[in-house]
Amino acid sequence: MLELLDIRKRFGALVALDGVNVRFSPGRVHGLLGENGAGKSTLMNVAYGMLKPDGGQIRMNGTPVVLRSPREAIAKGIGMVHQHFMLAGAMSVLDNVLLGDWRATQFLNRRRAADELAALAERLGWTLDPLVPVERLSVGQQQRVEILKALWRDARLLILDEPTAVLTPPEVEQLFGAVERLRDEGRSVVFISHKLGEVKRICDDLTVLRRGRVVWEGAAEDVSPAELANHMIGRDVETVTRATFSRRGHATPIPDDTLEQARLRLDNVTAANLHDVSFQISPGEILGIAGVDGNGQQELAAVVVGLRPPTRGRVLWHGSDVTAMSLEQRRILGFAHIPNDRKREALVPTMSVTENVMLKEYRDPPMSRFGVISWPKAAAVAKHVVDQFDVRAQSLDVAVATLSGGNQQKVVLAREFAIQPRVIVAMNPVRGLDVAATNFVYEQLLARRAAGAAILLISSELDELLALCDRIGVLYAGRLTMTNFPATGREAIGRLMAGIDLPAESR
Amino acid sequence: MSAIAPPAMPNRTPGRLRTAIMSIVGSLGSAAICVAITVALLATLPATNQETERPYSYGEKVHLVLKTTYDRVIRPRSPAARAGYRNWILTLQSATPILLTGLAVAAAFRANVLNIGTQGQYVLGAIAAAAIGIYIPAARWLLIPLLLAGAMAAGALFAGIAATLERWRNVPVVLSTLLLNFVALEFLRYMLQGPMRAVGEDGRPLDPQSTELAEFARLPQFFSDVPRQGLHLGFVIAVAAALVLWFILRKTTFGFRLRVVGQNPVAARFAGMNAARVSFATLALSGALAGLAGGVQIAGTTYVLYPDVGTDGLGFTGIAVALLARLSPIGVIFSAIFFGLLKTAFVALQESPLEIHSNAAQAVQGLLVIAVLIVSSPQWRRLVGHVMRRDRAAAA
Repeated sequence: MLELLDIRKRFGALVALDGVNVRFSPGRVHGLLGENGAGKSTLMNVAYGMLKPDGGQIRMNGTPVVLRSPREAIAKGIGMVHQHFMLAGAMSVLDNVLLGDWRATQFLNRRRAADELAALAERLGWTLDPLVPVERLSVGQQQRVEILKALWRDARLLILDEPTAVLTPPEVEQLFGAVERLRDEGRSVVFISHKLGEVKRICDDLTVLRRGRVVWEGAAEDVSPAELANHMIGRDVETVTRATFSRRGHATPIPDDTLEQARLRLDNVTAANLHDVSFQISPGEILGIAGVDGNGQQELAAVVVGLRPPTRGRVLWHGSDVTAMSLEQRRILGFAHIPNDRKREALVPTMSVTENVMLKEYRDPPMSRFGVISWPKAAAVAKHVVDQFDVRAQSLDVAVATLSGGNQQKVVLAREFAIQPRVIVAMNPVRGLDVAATNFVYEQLLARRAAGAAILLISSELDELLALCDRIGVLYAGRLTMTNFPATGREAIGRLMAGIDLPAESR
Repeated sequence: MSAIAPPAMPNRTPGRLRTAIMSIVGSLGSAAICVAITVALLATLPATNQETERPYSYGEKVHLVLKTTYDRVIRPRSPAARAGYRNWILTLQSATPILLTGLAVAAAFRANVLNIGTQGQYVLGAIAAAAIGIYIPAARWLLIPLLLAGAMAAGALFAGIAATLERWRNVPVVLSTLLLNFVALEFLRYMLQGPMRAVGEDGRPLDPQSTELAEFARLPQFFSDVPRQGLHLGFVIAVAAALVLWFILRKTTFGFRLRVVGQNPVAARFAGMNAARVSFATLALSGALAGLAGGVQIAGTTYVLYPDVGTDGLGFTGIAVALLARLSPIGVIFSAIFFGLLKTAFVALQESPLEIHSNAAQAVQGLLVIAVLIVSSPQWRRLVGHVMRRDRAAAA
C-alpha cells in the first residue's frame, strides 16, 4: 500500500499541491480526477520520484520512504506509463523492455527473455511479438509495451497517465481487460483521466483534485458522472451531453438549389495520407470527422484551408474551384482554421496577445499601411476582438505563453472568428481545456453554425462529435467513410474508427 | 507539463517601460560579470614589478588592470594631454565594424537563421569596397555611396549563396555560412596575390596588398585631420543602421514576419507566411550589414585591403556582440562600444607595467566570448531567475 500524506509542492508563486492525502490499496483501481492544472500529474510525478515534494510524507506499507528519482521508485515497485511514451522506436519490444533494467545482464539468453515477456503479455490477454521494432506497432500496442516495461520490473503499483486519450474504443476495452487482470493479481492501478464515464466504469476508488487539494474521495459506485463533474469544477456546469447542445440555434433552412451552390465540397481529394476523400458541407452545418489521430486528419485540414495542395482532386466553395488558392486567398474568402496544436501551430507563445491576434491580418489597414505597422491601432483592434471572447489577460502586451490553455484557445478563436468566417476547419478544438473553456468553445462553434458557417470538426473525441455534429464521417487510414449518424450509433462508429466493419472498397 | 501551468495570470505584468529597464539592467549585469571575468583572467597572467624585481601579487595586478584601464581609457582628461579623447575615438572606431557585424548577427538570429558567416560576408564587403574605391573613377559624392552600396551588395550576394543552398538542397545555413568563411578568406588572398596586388613605380609587384584608397574615396572623419586618427563617418552610419534595423524589426510587416518565423516557424506557415522566403531575405539583409562593415572598415580605417582583413575576426566578434545585446539592435550599439572599450584597454595594458602581450589579451577576449555565451544562454538566465525567485519567496 502506498500512502501520500500531506504532500505539498509549489512552483514559484503557484501552489500545485496543497496538502494532498491519498491512499492506494492493493487490488484496487484508483481513479485520479481533476481539471487541467488541478495537480494530478504533479502528484503522480511526486509518487514516481520525478519531483521532490516541498512537504509531506510518502509511506509504503507503513514505513516512510524517500523517492529521489524514478530509479528508486521503480526499485520500490512503482511503475508509470506516461501520456507520451518513452520508447526507442527502432529497437525491438524486448530491447525496450530490457533497456535500463539491471536484470538485463542476467538475460544473456535473449530467447529466454523473449519467452518470458511473451508469457507476461499473454497473462494480460495480449499477443505481442517481442522481437518486432516498436515503431511498427500501433499507438495502442506501444502503450502495452510501456505497461509491460513497468510489470517486467515487477511494479506493484502502476500509474497510467491519461491512458485512453490515444486509443480507439476497442483498444480501450482491451486496456480495461488488462487493468482488471492486474487488479485481480493484487496490484494497485492508478488511473488518471478526465473522462468521467470511463473512470466511473473501471475504477473502484476515486479521488478528485481541484487546485491542488482533494475535494472529494470515495467509492466509484456511490457517485454519478454529473456529481463528479461538479466536484471537479466546483460549481454546477452541465456535463457535455447531447442534450446540452443538440440542435440549438439551428440555421434557417436554405432552398436546395442555393444550398448546392453555397456548399463546401471536396471532390476525390488525394494527398499524402489521404485517399480519394469526397464530402460536402452546407452552410449552417457541422460535419464531424471521427478517427484516431494519425489517420489523415492533419492532412485533411491542411488541404481544406490551403496549407497543402492535393495531388489529385478539387476543393470547391460557392461553386468555384479554390484548389489552387493560397491560404491567404482563402482567408479573404472567409476560411478560418483552428489547428490541432495550439502552441505549435496556432500561436507564437513567446509573442504578445496583440501580435498573435494580428498574425494573419497584420498586412491590412488599420493595423499596417505601406508595410509599416501602427502598434496603437493594432492594439485597439486586438482589444476589440479579444474583449468579445472574454480573454483573461492582465494586458495585451504579455506573452501568450503566460495565459492558461483556455485563454490561449480564446485568443485563437478571437482571431479566427473576427473575420466572420464562412468556412471553419477545427481540429480537436478543446484538447487540454477544462470544462468551462470547453463549453465556451462549443458555444462559439454552435454560434458560428447558427450564423451560417460550414464547419468541419475533426476530433478524436467521439463524444464531442456526437454532441455537436449534424453528420459524422470516419477517417481510417486516409479513407473517409460517411456514416448514417444519428442512425449509426456510438458503437458502430467506434468500430469504424478501429478499421472494423468498413465497406469493402475502402479496406 | 499541464499540471504546473498557472491556472491564472501571474501576478505581475511588466509594462513596456519596465521590460526595457529590466532588459537594460540585465545587459548591464551581464556586462559587469564579463568585465569581472576579464579582469580576473588578465590578473592571472604573470608580471614582474620592474622596480622591486618581485612578481606582482594577484591583488596588485587586479588593481593595476583597473587603474590602467581607468586612467588610459575611460578618464576623459588624462595627464597625457589629449590622449583621453584619442582613446575614446579609438574605442568608437574599434566599435564601428563590430557594431555592424553585431547587427548582422542580431537580424539573422532573430529569425532563427544561424548566420555565422559574417566574417566571410565582411571580407567580401571589404574586397568590393576596395575594388570600387580604387578602380572606379567617380566624384566623391558619388564614389562613397557607391562604394558602400557595393560592399552591402557583395555581402548580401555572398550570404545569398548560403540562402540558395538551403532552399535548393536543404543545406543547413550554419554549415554553409561557416565554410564560406574559408572561401572568402582564400578569395581575398587570391585577389591580393593577383588582380588587386599593388605595383611599384618600376612595375614590379609590391607586398601582397592593394593600392591605398585615394583621399577622395575615404570616409570623412571628425575631431582630427590626421588620417586614421579621427572618428570617421562609419560610426554614424553604423548607429544609423542600428536605428534602421530597430525600425524594421519593430515597426514593419517584414520585421513582424521575421520575428514570427524566428519564434515559431510552424505557426508562421499556418498563418500563411512563407518561412523560407523570410529566411532568405533575412540572410541577405544580414549579409548586407556584414558587407557594409567590411566597406566601412576599408574606407574609414585601413584605406587599404590587406590579408589581415580576412583574419581580424571582426565578423566573428559580431556574434558575441549580438548575444551580449540579447539580439536587440539598440543594445548592439552599447555592446559594440563595450567591446571597443576592451580593445582600447588591451592596447593600454600592453604599455602598462603589466606588459600584457597582445596575444594573451586576444586569448582573454576569446574566453570572454565564451563567458558572454554562458551569461546570455537561456539556461543561465533560467538559473538566475530561479535563484531570484527563491530569494523573493524566502523573503515573503
